[in-house]
Amino acid sequence: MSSSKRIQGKPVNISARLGQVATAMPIGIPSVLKRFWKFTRDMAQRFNKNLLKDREGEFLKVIEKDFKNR
Amino acid sequence: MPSRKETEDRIIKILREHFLKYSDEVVEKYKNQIQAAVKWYVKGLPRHIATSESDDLTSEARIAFVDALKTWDPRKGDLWPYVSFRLKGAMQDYLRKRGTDPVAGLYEWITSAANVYMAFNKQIIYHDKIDQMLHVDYAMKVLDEKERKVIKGYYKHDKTFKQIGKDIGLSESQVSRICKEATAKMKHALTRHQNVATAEEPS
Repeated sequence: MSSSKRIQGKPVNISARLGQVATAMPIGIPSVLKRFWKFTRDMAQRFNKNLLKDREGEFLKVIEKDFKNR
Repeated sequence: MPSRKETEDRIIKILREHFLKYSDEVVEKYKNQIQAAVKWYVKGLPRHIATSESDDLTSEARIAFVDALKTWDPRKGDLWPYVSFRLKGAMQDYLRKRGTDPVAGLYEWITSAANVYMAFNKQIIYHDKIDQMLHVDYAMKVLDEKERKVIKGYYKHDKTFKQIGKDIGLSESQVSRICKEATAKMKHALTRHQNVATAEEPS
Protein backbone atom coordinates (compact mmCIF):
# COMPACT_ATOMS: atom_id res chain seq x y z
CA MET A 1 0.00 0.00 0.00
CA SER A 2 1.55 3.08 -1.12
CA SER A 3 1.08 6.09 0.97
CA SER A 4 1.28 9.42 -0.55
CA LYS A 5 2.46 12.22 1.59
CA ARG A 6 0.94 15.50 0.85
CA ILE A 7 3.37 18.26 1.19
CA GLN A 8 1.79 21.35 2.61
CA GLY A 9 3.63 24.58 2.43
CA LYS A 10 3.28 27.38 4.89
CA PRO A 11 0.28 29.63 4.32
CA VAL A 12 1.18 32.49 2.11
CA ASN A 13 0.77 35.80 3.84
CA ILE A 14 -1.20 37.84 1.33
CA SER A 15 -0.99 41.39 2.49
CA ALA A 16 -3.00 42.77 -0.38
CA ARG A 17 -6.29 41.70 -1.87
CA LEU A 18 -6.46 40.53 -5.43
CA GLY A 19 -6.05 43.35 -7.87
CA GLN A 20 -4.51 45.63 -5.30
CA VAL A 21 -0.88 46.33 -4.75
CA ALA A 22 0.23 46.38 -1.13
CA THR A 23 1.93 49.59 -0.18
CA ALA A 24 5.31 48.56 1.11
CA MET A 25 6.69 50.13 4.23
CA PRO A 26 9.23 52.73 3.17
CA ILE A 27 12.75 52.55 4.49
CA GLY A 28 13.86 54.94 7.16
CA ILE A 29 10.52 55.74 8.77
CA PRO A 30 10.36 56.43 12.52
CA SER A 31 9.93 53.40 14.73
CA VAL A 32 6.62 54.70 16.14
CA LEU A 33 5.15 54.79 12.69
CA LYS A 34 6.60 51.36 11.93
CA ARG A 35 4.48 49.90 14.71
CA PHE A 36 1.35 51.64 13.35
CA TRP A 37 2.10 51.10 9.68
CA LYS A 38 -0.76 48.67 9.07
CA PHE A 39 -3.22 50.96 10.81
CA THR A 40 -1.93 54.00 8.90
CA ARG A 41 -2.21 52.21 5.59
CA ASP A 42 -5.77 51.01 6.37
CA MET A 43 -6.90 54.48 7.34
CA ALA A 44 -5.26 56.04 4.30
CA GLN A 45 -7.12 53.53 2.14
CA ARG A 46 -10.43 54.35 3.83
CA PHE A 47 -9.97 58.07 3.24
CA ASN A 48 -8.73 57.42 -0.28
CA LYS A 49 -11.80 55.32 -1.08
CA ASN A 50 -13.96 58.46 -0.96
CA LEU A 51 -11.89 60.41 -3.48
CA LEU A 52 -12.12 60.45 -7.23
CA LYS A 53 -8.39 59.87 -7.79
CA ASP A 54 -6.08 57.40 -6.08
CA ARG A 55 -4.13 59.38 -3.49
CA GLU A 56 -3.14 56.66 -1.05
CA GLY A 57 0.59 57.22 -1.61
CA GLU A 58 0.09 60.93 -1.07
CA PHE A 59 -1.61 60.29 2.29
CA LEU A 60 1.18 57.98 3.44
CA LYS A 61 3.86 60.48 2.45
CA VAL A 62 2.12 63.21 4.47
CA ILE A 63 2.07 60.95 7.54
CA GLU A 64 5.67 59.94 7.07
CA LYS A 65 6.77 63.54 6.72
CA ASP A 66 4.85 64.57 9.83
CA PHE A 67 6.34 61.79 11.98
CA LYS A 68 9.87 62.51 10.73
CA ASN A 69 9.60 66.20 11.58
CA ARG A 70 8.48 65.63 15.16
CA MET B 1 5.86 57.78 25.14
CA PRO B 2 2.43 58.39 23.64
CA SER B 3 -0.26 55.74 24.14
CA ARG B 4 -1.73 53.68 21.33
CA LYS B 5 -4.90 55.77 21.20
CA GLU B 6 -2.97 59.03 21.11
CA THR B 7 -0.86 57.84 18.19
CA GLU B 8 -3.90 56.58 16.29
CA ASP B 9 -5.72 59.86 16.90
CA ARG B 10 -2.70 61.75 15.62
CA ILE B 11 -2.56 59.66 12.45
CA ILE B 12 -6.28 60.16 11.84
CA LYS B 13 -5.97 63.89 12.44
CA ILE B 14 -3.17 64.28 9.88
CA LEU B 15 -4.97 62.13 7.34
CA ARG B 16 -8.22 64.04 7.82
CA GLU B 17 -6.53 67.41 7.39
CA HIS B 18 -5.10 66.22 4.10
CA PHE B 19 -8.40 64.62 3.12
CA LEU B 20 -10.32 67.86 3.68
CA LYS B 21 -8.15 69.57 1.05
CA TYR B 22 -9.99 67.40 -1.46
CA SER B 23 -13.51 67.95 -0.06
CA ASP B 24 -14.67 69.24 -3.48
CA GLU B 25 -13.66 65.93 -4.97
CA VAL B 26 -15.62 64.05 -2.30
CA VAL B 27 -18.72 66.21 -2.89
CA GLU B 28 -18.39 65.54 -6.60
CA LYS B 29 -18.15 61.81 -5.97
CA TYR B 30 -21.22 61.76 -3.73
CA LYS B 31 -23.34 64.38 -5.53
CA ASN B 32 -25.83 61.84 -6.91
CA GLN B 33 -26.25 60.21 -3.53
CA ILE B 34 -26.79 63.61 -1.86
CA GLN B 35 -29.37 64.49 -4.48
CA ALA B 36 -31.12 61.16 -3.95
CA ALA B 37 -31.16 61.69 -0.18
CA VAL B 38 -32.72 65.13 -0.61
CA LYS B 39 -35.27 63.77 -3.06
CA TRP B 40 -36.20 60.99 -0.66
CA TYR B 41 -36.61 63.47 2.21
CA VAL B 42 -38.60 65.97 0.14
CA LYS B 43 -40.95 63.20 -0.98
CA GLY B 44 -42.23 62.87 2.57
CA LEU B 45 -42.94 66.58 2.99
CA PRO B 46 -46.23 68.41 2.33
CA ARG B 47 -46.48 69.56 -1.27
CA HIS B 48 -46.35 73.30 -0.55
CA ILE B 49 -43.09 72.90 1.42
CA ALA B 50 -41.60 70.46 -1.06
CA THR B 51 -42.03 72.85 -4.01
CA SER B 52 -40.74 75.94 -2.23
CA GLU B 53 -37.91 74.44 -0.16
CA SER B 54 -36.45 71.79 -2.45
CA ASP B 55 -33.52 73.88 -3.76
CA ASP B 56 -32.68 75.27 -0.33
CA LEU B 57 -32.68 71.79 1.13
CA THR B 58 -30.25 70.62 -1.54
CA SER B 59 -27.74 73.37 -0.72
CA GLU B 60 -28.29 72.78 3.00
CA ALA B 61 -27.55 69.09 2.50
CA ARG B 62 -24.30 69.89 0.67
CA ILE B 63 -23.15 72.17 3.49
CA ALA B 64 -24.01 69.47 6.01
CA PHE B 65 -22.08 66.94 3.93
CA VAL B 66 -18.89 69.03 4.04
CA ASP B 67 -19.38 69.58 7.78
CA ALA B 68 -19.78 65.88 8.32
CA LEU B 69 -16.46 65.21 6.55
CA LYS B 70 -14.74 67.19 9.30
CA THR B 71 -16.03 64.89 12.01
CA TRP B 72 -16.09 61.53 10.23
CA ASP B 73 -13.93 58.90 11.88
CA PRO B 74 -12.94 56.11 9.45
CA ARG B 75 -12.35 53.75 12.40
CA LYS B 76 -16.06 53.71 13.13
CA GLY B 77 -17.32 52.86 9.68
CA ASP B 78 -17.81 54.02 6.13
CA LEU B 79 -18.46 57.61 5.18
CA TRP B 80 -21.89 57.41 3.58
CA PRO B 81 -23.89 55.77 6.43
CA TYR B 82 -22.57 58.41 8.80
CA VAL B 83 -23.08 61.31 6.43
CA SER B 84 -26.57 60.31 5.27
CA PHE B 85 -27.75 60.33 8.87
CA ARG B 86 -26.30 63.80 9.32
CA LEU B 87 -27.90 65.04 6.09
CA LYS B 88 -31.38 64.12 7.26
CA GLY B 89 -30.79 65.86 10.58
CA ALA B 90 -29.49 68.99 8.85
CA MET B 91 -32.56 69.17 6.60
CA GLN B 92 -34.87 68.74 9.59
CA ASP B 93 -33.00 71.48 11.46
CA TYR B 94 -33.24 73.77 8.46
CA LEU B 95 -37.02 73.38 8.25
CA ARG B 96 -37.36 73.92 12.00
CA LYS B 97 -35.24 77.08 11.82
CA ARG B 98 -37.33 78.40 8.97
CA GLY B 99 -40.12 78.26 11.54
CA THR B 100 -42.77 80.67 10.40
CA ASP B 101 -42.09 80.49 6.69
CA PRO B 102 -43.64 77.07 6.03
CA VAL B 103 -46.68 78.28 8.00
CA ALA B 104 -46.83 81.37 5.82
CA GLY B 105 -46.59 79.09 2.82
CA LEU B 106 -49.40 76.99 4.22
CA TYR B 107 -51.52 80.11 4.78
CA GLU B 108 -50.96 81.18 1.17
CA TRP B 109 -51.86 77.73 -0.02
CA ILE B 110 -55.10 77.66 2.01
CA THR B 111 -56.04 81.15 0.79
CA SER B 112 -55.47 80.23 -2.83
CA ALA B 113 -57.38 76.98 -2.39
CA ALA B 114 -60.27 78.90 -0.78
CA ASN B 115 -60.28 81.36 -3.68
CA VAL B 116 -60.45 78.54 -6.18
CA TYR B 117 -63.31 76.98 -4.24
CA MET B 118 -65.17 80.31 -4.13
CA ALA B 119 -64.66 80.83 -7.85
CA PHE B 120 -66.31 77.50 -8.61
CA ASN B 121 -69.02 77.56 -5.96
CA LYS B 122 -69.95 81.25 -5.97
CA GLN B 123 -73.17 80.70 -7.88
CA ILE B 124 -74.31 77.88 -5.65
CA ILE B 125 -73.68 79.95 -2.51
CA TYR B 126 -75.67 82.92 -3.85
CA HIS B 127 -78.46 80.65 -4.99
CA ASP B 128 -78.70 79.20 -1.50
CA LYS B 129 -78.95 82.67 0.01
CA ILE B 130 -81.57 83.79 -2.48
CA ASP B 131 -83.54 80.63 -1.83
CA GLN B 132 -83.47 81.28 1.88
CA MET B 133 -84.57 84.88 1.38
CA LEU B 134 -87.44 83.79 -0.87
CA HIS B 135 -88.57 81.31 1.75
CA VAL B 136 -88.60 83.95 4.48
CA ASP B 137 -90.42 86.39 2.18
CA TYR B 138 -92.96 83.69 1.47
CA ALA B 139 -93.48 83.12 5.18
CA MET B 140 -93.81 86.86 5.81
CA LYS B 141 -96.75 87.00 3.40
CA VAL B 142 -98.78 84.97 5.88
CA LEU B 143 -98.51 87.77 8.47
CA ASP B 144 -100.66 90.89 8.66
CA GLU B 145 -99.19 94.41 8.73
CA LYS B 146 -98.92 94.65 12.53
CA GLU B 147 -97.27 91.26 12.90
CA ARG B 148 -94.83 92.04 10.09
CA LYS B 149 -93.77 95.27 11.86
CA VAL B 150 -93.20 93.41 15.12
CA ILE B 151 -91.15 90.65 13.48
CA LYS B 152 -89.04 93.10 11.47
CA GLY B 153 -88.50 95.33 14.50
CA TYR B 154 -87.60 92.44 16.78
CA TYR B 155 -85.49 90.22 14.48
CA LYS B 156 -84.17 92.63 11.87
CA HIS B 157 -83.62 95.86 13.82
CA ASP B 158 -82.93 94.25 17.23
CA LYS B 159 -85.47 96.41 19.01
CA THR B 160 -87.01 95.55 22.38
CA PHE B 161 -90.71 94.78 22.79
CA LYS B 162 -91.05 98.08 24.65
CA GLN B 163 -89.55 100.10 21.76
CA ILE B 164 -91.69 98.29 19.17
CA GLY B 165 -94.78 98.84 21.32
CA LYS B 166 -94.04 102.54 21.49
CA ASP B 167 -93.67 102.72 17.67
CA ILE B 168 -96.96 100.98 16.87
CA GLY B 169 -98.94 102.15 19.93
CA LEU B 170 -99.21 98.85 21.84
CA SER B 171 -98.12 97.67 25.25
CA GLU B 172 -94.99 95.51 25.78
CA SER B 173 -97.01 92.41 26.68
CA GLN B 174 -99.23 92.77 23.60
CA VAL B 175 -96.16 93.03 21.35
CA SER B 176 -94.68 89.96 23.02
CA ARG B 177 -97.88 87.98 22.39
CA ILE B 178 -98.05 89.14 18.73
CA CYS B 179 -94.39 88.21 18.19
CA LYS B 180 -94.96 84.75 19.61
CA GLU B 181 -98.02 84.14 17.43
CA ALA B 182 -96.32 85.54 14.31
CA THR B 183 -93.25 83.34 14.83
CA ALA B 184 -95.48 80.27 15.13
CA LYS B 185 -97.34 81.25 11.95
CA MET B 186 -94.07 81.71 10.03
CA LYS B 187 -92.69 78.45 11.30
CA HIS B 188 -95.82 76.66 10.18
CA ALA B 189 -95.74 78.35 6.76
CA LEU B 190 -92.07 77.50 6.22
CA THR B 191 -92.60 73.85 7.18
CA ARG B 192 -95.51 73.59 4.76
CA HIS B 193 -93.46 75.25 1.98
CA GLN B 194 -90.58 72.90 2.59
CA ASN B 195 -92.80 69.82 2.48
CA VAL B 196 -94.28 70.95 -0.85
CA ALA B 197 -90.78 71.56 -2.27
CA THR B 198 -89.61 68.11 -1.13
CA ALA B 199 -92.63 66.41 -2.67
CA GLU B 200 -92.02 68.20 -5.99
CA GLU B 201 -88.33 67.14 -6.17
CA PRO B 202 -87.71 64.39 -8.75
CA SER B 203 -86.59 61.12 -7.13
